[in-house]
Amino acid sequence: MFRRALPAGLLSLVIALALVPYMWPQPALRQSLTELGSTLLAYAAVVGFLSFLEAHFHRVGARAEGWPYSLVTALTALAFLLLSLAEGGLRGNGLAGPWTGWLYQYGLLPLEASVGALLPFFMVLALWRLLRIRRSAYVLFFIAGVLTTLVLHSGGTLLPTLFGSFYETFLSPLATGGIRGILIGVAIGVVVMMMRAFLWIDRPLGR
Amino acid sequence: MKSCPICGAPNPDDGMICEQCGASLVLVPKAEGGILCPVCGYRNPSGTIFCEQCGARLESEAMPGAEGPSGEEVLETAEVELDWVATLEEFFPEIPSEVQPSGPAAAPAEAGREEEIAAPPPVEAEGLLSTEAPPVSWERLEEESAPPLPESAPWMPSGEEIPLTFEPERSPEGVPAPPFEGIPPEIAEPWPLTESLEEEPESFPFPGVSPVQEEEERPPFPWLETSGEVPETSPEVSLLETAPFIEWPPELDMETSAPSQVAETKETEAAPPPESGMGEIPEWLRGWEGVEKPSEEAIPEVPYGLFEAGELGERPLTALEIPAEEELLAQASALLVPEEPPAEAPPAPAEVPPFTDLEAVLAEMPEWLQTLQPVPEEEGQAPSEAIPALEPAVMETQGPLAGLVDVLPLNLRLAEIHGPAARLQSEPATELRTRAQAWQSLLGQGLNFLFGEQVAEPVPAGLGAALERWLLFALLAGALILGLYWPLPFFQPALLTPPGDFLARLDQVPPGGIALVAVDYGPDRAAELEIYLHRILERLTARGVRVLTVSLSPWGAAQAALAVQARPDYGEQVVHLGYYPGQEVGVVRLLTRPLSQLGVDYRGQPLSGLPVARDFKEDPLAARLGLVVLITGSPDALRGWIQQARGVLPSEVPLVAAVGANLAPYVAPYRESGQLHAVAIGLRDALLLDGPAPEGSPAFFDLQAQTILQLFIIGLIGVGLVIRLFRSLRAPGL
Amino acid sequence: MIIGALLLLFVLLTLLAVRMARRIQNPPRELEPFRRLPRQIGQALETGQPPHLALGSGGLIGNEAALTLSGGRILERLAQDSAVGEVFPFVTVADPVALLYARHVLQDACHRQGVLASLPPDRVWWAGASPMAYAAGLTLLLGTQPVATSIMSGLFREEAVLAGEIGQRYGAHLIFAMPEPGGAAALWPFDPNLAVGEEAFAAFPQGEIPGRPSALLLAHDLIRWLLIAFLAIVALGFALRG
Repeated sequence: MFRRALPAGLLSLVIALALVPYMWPQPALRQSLTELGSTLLAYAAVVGFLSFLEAHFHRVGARAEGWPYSLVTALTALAFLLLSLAEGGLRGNGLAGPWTGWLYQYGLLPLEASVGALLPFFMVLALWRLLRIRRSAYVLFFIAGVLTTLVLHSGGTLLPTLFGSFYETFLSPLATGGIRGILIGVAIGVVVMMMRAFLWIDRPLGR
Repeated sequence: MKSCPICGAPNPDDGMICEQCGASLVLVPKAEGGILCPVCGYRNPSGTIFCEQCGARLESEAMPGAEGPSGEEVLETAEVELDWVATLEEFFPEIPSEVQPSGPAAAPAEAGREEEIAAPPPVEAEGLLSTEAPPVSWERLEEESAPPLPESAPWMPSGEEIPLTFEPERSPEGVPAPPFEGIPPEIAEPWPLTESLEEEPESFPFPGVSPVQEEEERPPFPWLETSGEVPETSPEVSLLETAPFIEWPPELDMETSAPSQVAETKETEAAPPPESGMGEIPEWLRGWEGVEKPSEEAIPEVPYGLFEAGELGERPLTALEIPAEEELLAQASALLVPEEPPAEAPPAPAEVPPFTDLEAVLAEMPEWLQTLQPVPEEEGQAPSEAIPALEPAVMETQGPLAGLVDVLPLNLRLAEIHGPAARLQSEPATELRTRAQAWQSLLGQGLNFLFGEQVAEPVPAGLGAALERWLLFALLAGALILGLYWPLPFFQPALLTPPGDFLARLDQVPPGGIALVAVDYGPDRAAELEIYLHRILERLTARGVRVLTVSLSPWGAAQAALAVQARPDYGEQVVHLGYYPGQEVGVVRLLTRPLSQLGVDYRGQPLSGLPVARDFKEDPLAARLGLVVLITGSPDALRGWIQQARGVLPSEVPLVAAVGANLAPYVAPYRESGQLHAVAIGLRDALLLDGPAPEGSPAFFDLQAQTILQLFIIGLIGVGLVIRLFRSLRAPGL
Repeated sequence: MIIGALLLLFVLLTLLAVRMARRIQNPPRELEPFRRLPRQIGQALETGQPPHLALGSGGLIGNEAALTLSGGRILERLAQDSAVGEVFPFVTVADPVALLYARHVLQDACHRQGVLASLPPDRVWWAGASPMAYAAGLTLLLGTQPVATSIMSGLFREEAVLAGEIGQRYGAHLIFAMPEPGGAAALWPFDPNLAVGEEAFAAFPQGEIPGRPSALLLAHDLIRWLLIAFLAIVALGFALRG
């Protein structure tokens, strides 16, 4: 029973420690907790990386579906790690070394930018398919919102001047208020979830 | 009404054939005894030639093990008078009987008698057939109680000796019974059990074949030669010793031990063939009610040598060789006429030699049957004590299966598993209870969960969907290329206004002051936000403002490093502090940290040696800042910086944000509330930071491309709405 | 201090909600995505195709921890129900801490079902470190591994549209729980019934069943109505004053 209660107890303790500075300001406590969190994050990153390698090498060994992708992924990650370690350890440049910078600038950056560039295409495709398939009034509301945003932000044309004041007066507060309401709800959900974890009502770390 | 001995169905008293299963109702001896199969131990009804369980060829009632549950001699060998059995007997009226005539045969074995399925036949079974068989009586089979089975089964590795050979009994006259020659490969049903020879004496079992009367001089089966008389002991002919079927192998030899399931014993081998062609009546036949006493004249033995001579060989019987119909009928009538039990008790059956030639039996045994061979205990792995005794055979008492025994497969009573005692809980586990309640609520919803489900519709597969996708992409790419290279008339950049208040805040920092620029975007937002970083750095450094860049994420730090570390004035006016962990807490830590403790930059180079940090002393960073600029595409970073920095920064220090277009709704409340002094949103404001874009400049075409794409999407939505409206009008149900 | 007082108030409200939930027999409103969850688990068991849960790009630090824990609640239920048939779900994460957390939840659930030995080590995927790389890794997984259901619950933004597109193209049943409005807007065309905002926290925890009042949602409602009342009073005050 003690073993089962340990994770929940630790979580409650950490939550309490994190809440204490808000009622009793102690910069040293906040700083210590922050540094502890950063250290744990770094440790978790190392363990997570090892777990990542284990998962992909297992797939390669078991010849699971898509195992070539796993092999390339794992080997690339290992190569990047060794390169960064070598540069940081041997040259003392850490993450700012020229080799790592070169890989980031000419490898990671173009790849992520390309993936990000796909977003508008798939969004438009989803929008087009929505018009073709969905049969409900909500679709019209959604389309109206998209149209409004596109029209009002199509700068360099006369369209924004036609609808600008209407949007600023009526639609912008509604849109912003809706988003704020959602965010407030999310914040409430976050608070309640952490309270439940603190009070042992909810045990996200297992029972 | 009388009940069928096989299925127990009621039938009229004068019925000859059961209306339910077709079994003959003429002679149904009492359901006792039976023939114990030497291979599997299954107790077959009397009269059965081949075991109903494994197909082994059975001997007469003189088989060892045909004992009652009490271990006494088998009372009767119940015979089921089936037409085909009678007909077989008609074929072989002269087969010498191996068994002494016994009393009335018992009822069929499966008709409700608790058989000794597991009883191993004793080596020396004497008096297997009682001398005084009780008369056959029509009894309701369900009234009989099944005797319990013995402890051991023939297939169980018991210590009892299992006879390996099946020895036929000697004939009363001492004439050794012909050897049991084995099992024919297949048993072909001679004719359907629908005819009663007594009722239809004129019917000939082989339609289309003329009776052969003129062939009496040359009987089809030489061993069927008789003295011409109707063999009184025909019902007692040992059918087991003859081959009534045409597939009888010709290799039968009385002198040699033929491979058969019931191998010959030594006594059998030494026994001379019977004199008569009939042979002796088997004991199980003698137990029939109404069966005549075997005549003194021994039934001639089956002249197996004729088989060997190949007279019959492997050729099928011809029509000419089939006995005459009158002969068959006469024999059948002789067989079927119930007779009084013999006045004298039949002599005790001869000792049945044990079954010893297992190898011979196994050689003829089909492969599938060999797997059922019992494993001796010393060779097997199952300890005898692990296999408990069988439950008594269960006789069905109701329904159409009434009277049948062991209809359902027997299950060995498993040894009790001695495990931990079950812990009974007063109430079920929480998970079980909640699941049960979940099911209850789910079922209470009816089928709404099934029919009312709205799911995401999958993309229609096929060429049409792919073409639609590629067409859409092509149109978008076309609009993009069009906007990037051709100036369009409807695009007027003069209508675009730069972010004036944002620029004003940038210009408010006094020369020599320090501005903190937070870079929190990744490679995916770099195309949109990196322009901000370059132009803000340019604008600030051009006025002599020192800039410190920092990031709360590794991505932002890497992005800033690309832009900042390549500048020629790095270290003099610009320095990159790198990744600062801790998210919101890191913001407070950074702003409250003394400047002298900032340590090193992103490269690891100490700040104290750089000109940009010439006056970094013990005062916190927040006290020396003249401006804080947030360049981010993440709402979390925006919120974190605003909420934490606003509490630490002095009120006179402006906080401005350059965000992506997706953060426009997020920044509005902060802008309205004054927590953010100025905001620049999206690519458009970034391109206009240096003033209006002159026509033909890269900024001009970038702005035009963005506008063209937006207009194209607006047009696409319009086309989609028209198509949707058109289809709705055509099909109102849609 | 105000923050401390507010936090103390939230603690009291949560306790009050837990106590009231046992008395108020008012079942919370149904959420379509979570109502479909049991059936999708059953379908995964029948077809043998594992379900997939994407926990988003959040970790366990900061306010995104609650989003990840909410997804972990779904994972716990998913793992425990589908482990019965040894159909283990795939989990994709973008944060190493979330990876460890997901592994812990999965192993714990399988251990309770007694099938821990059968759990393959490749069920938790670190699909990418940044949101866009994570989305690309998601598409790789959905493209190479046939899954019956793809559940996305956690910190997602516009990059979720890539995962939604690929999931839809490969015929996986899609269930979305998007706390962030950006992710909700991106995925709305795929499934208009997705859970938005605080609804993403409404995945019933272990021990609670649909149909019974949930202390979780009741606490949400209490705090929400309290805030609404507070905002209304303040707005009224400003309106009357000025």
